[in-house]
Amino acid sequence: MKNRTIFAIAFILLGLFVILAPSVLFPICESEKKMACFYTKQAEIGLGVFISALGVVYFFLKNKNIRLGIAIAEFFISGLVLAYPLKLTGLCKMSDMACRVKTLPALIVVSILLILVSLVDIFFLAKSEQSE
Amino acid sequence: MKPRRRNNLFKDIRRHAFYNACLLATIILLSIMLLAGTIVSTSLRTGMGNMQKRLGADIMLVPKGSKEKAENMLLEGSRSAFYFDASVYEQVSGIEGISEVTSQCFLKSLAADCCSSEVQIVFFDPVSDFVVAPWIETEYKTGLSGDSVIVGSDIASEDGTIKLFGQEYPVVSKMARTGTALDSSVYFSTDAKEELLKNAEEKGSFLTEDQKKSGILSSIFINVKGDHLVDGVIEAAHKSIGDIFDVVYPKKLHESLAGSLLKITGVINIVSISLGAFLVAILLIINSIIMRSRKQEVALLRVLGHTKKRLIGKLITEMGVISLCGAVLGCGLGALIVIPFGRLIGNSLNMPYLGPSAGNTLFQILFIILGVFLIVFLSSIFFIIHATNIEPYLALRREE
Repeated sequence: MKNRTIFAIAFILLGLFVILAPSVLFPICESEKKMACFYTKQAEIGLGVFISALGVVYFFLKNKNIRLGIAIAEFFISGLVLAYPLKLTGLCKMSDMACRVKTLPALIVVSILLILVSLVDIFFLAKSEQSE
Repeated sequence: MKPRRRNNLFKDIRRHAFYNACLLATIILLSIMLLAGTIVSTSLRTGMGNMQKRLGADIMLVPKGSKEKAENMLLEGSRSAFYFDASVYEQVSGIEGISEVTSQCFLKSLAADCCSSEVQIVFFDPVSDFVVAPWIETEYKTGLSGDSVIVGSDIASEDGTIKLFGQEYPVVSKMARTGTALDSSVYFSTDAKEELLKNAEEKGSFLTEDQKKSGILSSIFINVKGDHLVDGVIEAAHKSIGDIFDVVYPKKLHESLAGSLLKITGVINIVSISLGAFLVAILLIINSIIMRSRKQEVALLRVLGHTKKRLIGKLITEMGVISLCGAVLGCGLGALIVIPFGRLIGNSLNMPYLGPSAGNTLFQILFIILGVFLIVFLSSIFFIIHATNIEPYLALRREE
């Protein structure tokens, strides 16, 4: 399997995980009142769609420079995946709430994986650019 | 290592890509399992140690019928509310044989401004207290008065204050982490009870009839003098205040929980040992296959003038690189699963769970990398020596 296909699939799957983590797999706190974690969920769903969409575009592109750009974008988006629950919109303050016990760890794991995948992709693409 | 030799090393690893990938996958699995098992066991033991410290009284008197609630509160930190008449405390204090006695009053699950969920509010007497004090991380110099609080480790306080029912209270100290729901409690001095209840009622919080009474308390913690029997003190309490209380033995509760912990860590150890043995067996099989397939290569290298020592060094270096990569990757993946999800693991096991510090985790990771390295070395050294010991002529002839 080509590197392009592998990384495209990885980006699409990680994007899907960002969508599903706060909504289905590790859902945020159930409450009628809209708490901070509700807005974090909305933001993460948006980011997840964006990550997957970039993965789809990545799959169809043959130009290595554009793919390098997409990999760099994915790297910075992974920072946003973490920044939303930790700083920008935040989570519930109590540490025993579902959003802190389940959702935050899941988002930490997925963002670290996205950082690693995008860094490896950047390394391979930059290396092949140099050798050409 | 010289660059040319390094390139050759990676080329050799890639030449046997399939077997080396199997070896790497096995090492990754082994490292994940070892790290996860170690961290979970350590965290459960630390949590249990902390709980033992928290259950610092010989006996705890609670209102009749509230024993189960009180035990759940001590073990799981679940939020509860049950009440005595405050006059009981004075009567119990006078009983002979008591070395320390203090009382606490709990307010169950009051929604507060500070937090997105409900908190347990605990009123205690700072003068007679011996239950809360061991958990206070830093000594509070200003003293706890009606308008200041001590908070559990999980309560977020902005600018050193927290807001409860519209009123701001300065936080004078923070409790050490216990690994249970008690970390999300707020501790007030008994003097603050009246005003806080008034504020809560004004802000629309629901208070029960019991909570609205002024002279109430939830539990009395007692330490018995060394030369007196616990049963004697309980009997004296029955005579003095009547049959209105149940007795909880915090230290006995700890023993029952320690039994559960032993069972859980026992299961973890059995699973780790059996899986570990299985993975080591797979390592042995893979190593034997790799070395069998490389006999011809080794023989050729010997014919070309490589010494036995140099060949053993080359093969061990290859194994070393693979095992180091596998162990680092495995520990990274294991840490990525176990550390962020620590609280979820503790909740699922229903046990106090206190994750290790960063330094301790790093030490465990280094220890496991070293251990995995040793396991791979021991499981391959026999096959490596065997492959290099075969006469080149015989090895090459067998491959014909």
